[in-house]
Amino acid sequence: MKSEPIAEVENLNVAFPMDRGESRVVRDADIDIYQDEILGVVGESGSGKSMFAASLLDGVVEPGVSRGEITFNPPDGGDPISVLDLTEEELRRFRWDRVAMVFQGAMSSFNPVKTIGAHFKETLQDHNKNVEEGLERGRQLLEDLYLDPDRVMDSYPHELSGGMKQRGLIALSLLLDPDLLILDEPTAALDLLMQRSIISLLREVQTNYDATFVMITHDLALLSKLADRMVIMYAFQFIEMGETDEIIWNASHPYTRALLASTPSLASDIDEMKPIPGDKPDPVEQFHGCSYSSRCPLADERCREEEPPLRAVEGSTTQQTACFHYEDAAEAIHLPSSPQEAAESAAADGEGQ
Amino acid sequence: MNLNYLTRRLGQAVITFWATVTLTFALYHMMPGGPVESMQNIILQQVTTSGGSVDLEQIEQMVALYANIQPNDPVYVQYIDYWRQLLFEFSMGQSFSHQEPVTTLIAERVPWSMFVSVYSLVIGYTASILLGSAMAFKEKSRFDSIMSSIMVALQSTPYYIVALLLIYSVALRLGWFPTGGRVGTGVEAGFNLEFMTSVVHHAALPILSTSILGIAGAISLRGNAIRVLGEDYLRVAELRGLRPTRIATEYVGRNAILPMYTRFMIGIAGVLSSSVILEQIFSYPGMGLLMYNAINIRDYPLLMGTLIIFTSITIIGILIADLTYGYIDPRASGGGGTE
Amino acid sequence: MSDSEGDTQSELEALFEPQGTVESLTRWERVKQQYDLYVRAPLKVAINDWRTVVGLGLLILFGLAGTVGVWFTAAPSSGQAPFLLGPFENWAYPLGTDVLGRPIHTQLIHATPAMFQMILGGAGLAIGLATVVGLLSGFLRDTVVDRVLMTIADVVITIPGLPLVMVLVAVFQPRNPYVVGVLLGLDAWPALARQIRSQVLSIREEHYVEASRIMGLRIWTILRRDLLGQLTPYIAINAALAARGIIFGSVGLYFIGVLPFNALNWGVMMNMAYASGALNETAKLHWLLWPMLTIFLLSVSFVLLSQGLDSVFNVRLRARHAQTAGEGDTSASKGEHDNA
Repeated sequence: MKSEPIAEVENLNVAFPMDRGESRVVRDADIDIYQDEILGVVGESGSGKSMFAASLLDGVVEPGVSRGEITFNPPDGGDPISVLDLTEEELRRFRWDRVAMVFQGAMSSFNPVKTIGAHFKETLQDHNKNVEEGLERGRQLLEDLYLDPDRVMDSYPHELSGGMKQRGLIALSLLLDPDLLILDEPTAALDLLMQRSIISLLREVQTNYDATFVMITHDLALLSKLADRMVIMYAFQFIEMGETDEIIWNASHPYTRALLASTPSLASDIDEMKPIPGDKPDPVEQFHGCSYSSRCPLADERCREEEPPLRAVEGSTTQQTACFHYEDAAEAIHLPSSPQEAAESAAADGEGQ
Repeated sequence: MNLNYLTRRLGQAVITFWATVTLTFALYHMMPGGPVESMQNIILQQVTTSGGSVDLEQIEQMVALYANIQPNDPVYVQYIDYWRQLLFEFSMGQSFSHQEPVTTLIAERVPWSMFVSVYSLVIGYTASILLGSAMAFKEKSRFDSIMSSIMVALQSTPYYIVALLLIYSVALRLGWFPTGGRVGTGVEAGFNLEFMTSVVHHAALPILSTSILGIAGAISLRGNAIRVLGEDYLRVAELRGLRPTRIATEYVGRNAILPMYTRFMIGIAGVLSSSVILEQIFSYPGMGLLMYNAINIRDYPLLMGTLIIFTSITIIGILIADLTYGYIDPRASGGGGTE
Repeated sequence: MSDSEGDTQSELEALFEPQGTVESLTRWERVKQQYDLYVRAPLKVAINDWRTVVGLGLLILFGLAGTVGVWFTAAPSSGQAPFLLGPFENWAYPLGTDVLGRPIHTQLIHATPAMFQMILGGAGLAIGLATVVGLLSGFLRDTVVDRVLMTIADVVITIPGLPLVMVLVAVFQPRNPYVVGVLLGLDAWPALARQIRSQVLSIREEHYVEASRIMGLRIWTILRRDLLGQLTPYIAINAALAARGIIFGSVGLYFIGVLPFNALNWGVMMNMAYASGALNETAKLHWLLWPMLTIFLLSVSFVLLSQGLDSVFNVRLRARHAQTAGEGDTSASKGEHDNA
């Protein structure tokens, strides 16, 4: 799958000015996102993953600021676009056309006084698209998501259920055929059944429409079934990334292992699982050394002094981890079930729903 | 728009009208000594100044003529009769002072008061919407805090003080506007430019003073707009790359103004209220001045009549607001009242 | 609507967070905690806000004028001083005198008690009625009582206030300031009653009221402990605004001469000054302007007070939300939650 990167993120920092100083919620993030892949970003709430996602279309809410370099390479061969340097008008045109985003507030993502159809129409108009053709595509998308286009287009948001709105929003996000779609906790507010059906729909859609997905979630189990590649975020930094299999079977960072260990059968989400001991870090603080050192059983003097860089795990070309002692992690944090068992229960879980 | 909602709003309007008319009827009876005794002196005054003399029976007849109340009938008959004359003869009695039917007197004045009221509502709320949104978009800026202070000052200034200050400054000192009246002397009424300019010229200061009543709306609009600016759908609209003008009008504007809409119409009650004082200050012959003159000579039929009409206008205003709200806010048609 | 200085905001919010755990508190500690939560913290927020300080300060001055001031200055009488002195000409009469030689400042001072009596009568009635109706209606939601009360409220809200008051004044000819106040407060209660009702409805939804109901506490205990505690600031804000309404209404009616002139009132002063042509004669202008300024200042104090109280209320509300927001979202996710 290693195709061309569709987006290259270099040295990305997101900061909020606050009373107590600057709150840095994404720190020195570097990653390439490849065309047609599904990239999963995992982390606890407050780890900075949503901020990272929003930066990809320079959409961090005020007064937050994204700094660094985000280069978008249009798959149709256009010139590379430096996202963070776009003018307001350029950014407006770039958004939704190139990169679209679905986020967790689907319940209130629609203007309450407009019909769903009006949302489709205004999006097409403001991006200077052919409205008639676009609406036709929109209806097709709704149908692909098992919605009745006639009914949904004429409905007001309050007349639809949460699941219908969420699917409507996904259809709306694909309306302009974006090259990259960001899904920020797309199922967080839905019940389990609806979550699973939306996930399977997403998988279909991704195949049918050749889109690249970045999916943000704290639901590790869900992601393991969907993502090609995963990034783990802890304390506003990427601490491990690699192909999904590598992360699940060969997690190298103590935090990732703790996550996996506390996610029985990969079925419950992180916030419900037994907590990882220790406090979560404060975004205003400047920490020395490894951000996880205060909670890590492997931490030593060096970890508290020096910040471990993200570097390749031995024997893999794709997996990277930010830990000085990753070789010892497997032994120190024992996963309750063997990889085989975990795989089986995960698979069973996936089929069962 | 569902039928249940419609009937509920209509029912409310009918109940309010019934309550007001019943109140005026009850007030006649609650006057010290009842309608006859309390109106006797006033009637006697009217008659004696015109040189006649009357006995009790004649006074009772006159009470019936003026107040639409037959003093000798049982109360429930009086009540039914009072309603009958109002609904089927459009009669609210006769004015002591003008010796004319109350309905005729009021009908002549209504358009003038409505003219001032409607324009001051429109101007007041337009100004408050513009100001409120400007304050919200520049939240916590210097402009916002200065405007907030000005708003405190405006909220603390009664409209009649504004009227006096306007008369003093732009009418008396600068002489730009007349101090009173509703049209220049010698201007011929009709559909001609001179007449219309004169009408606008005379109404300008009353309208301006009344429109201050709506200015407090700027503060609630500011609050609403700030709330909308934090809504998810606004963020999605920005991420969707919608044009800023569309976001400002169709997203922020519309959703921030919506909650004010019903209040806008109820505001007509406040504006009509103020006309009682303002029309006196500007000697503007509308319904308010009619009522003011009526109170000075205890012209009860005229007082009751103006109260009924004032309320009816408000009822109609609120009814229009309630019935159109469903078209403006799709969520309202399910009902839920005016909260 | 009223974020004061953002810098101190979070510190102020912290004031409302209960210290220590809830169990194992002695009675004294609990009293102290209640005191901190309901007295010390609001006061601290209040004095941090210039609006509350200025509003209260002005109000205290008016209060002093209406009590001590009346006692110290002689009641104004005709011919007591030179006619039509301008302001600041003679320091015995700093604000000047009117055409009858009555000092302006003593007229203003001696009109204050009646004004406060009207406010007490009117705002008292409005707040009292609104609270009772709002609470009843909220607790008996969708019952006949609720519907009848709300219908009455809708009727009263529709009848234009001043015309109604004028008819009532014409029929009953009230002279007692409390009664005048009550008449003026008649149209102020329905809006507040509706607001209190919807507050009650939303508080009812909140979990802890539900919880206390499950725990078998009687309805009045819930009312007293949870609702009134939360509604107090709300009611106070509206009391301040109702007071402004009473001032506007009473002065307006005195000014146009509808209310009987038995008492001293700023509106009466304005009426006499205006009728004697104060707008056209510069020598009389101060006679009209001083009462206008007085009315303005008293209204400003109430408006500022209401806004200040509103910010106390807001800080407390935010603090409570922060507490119930749950474990996973403490400071680390501040940024994320701003946009969620």
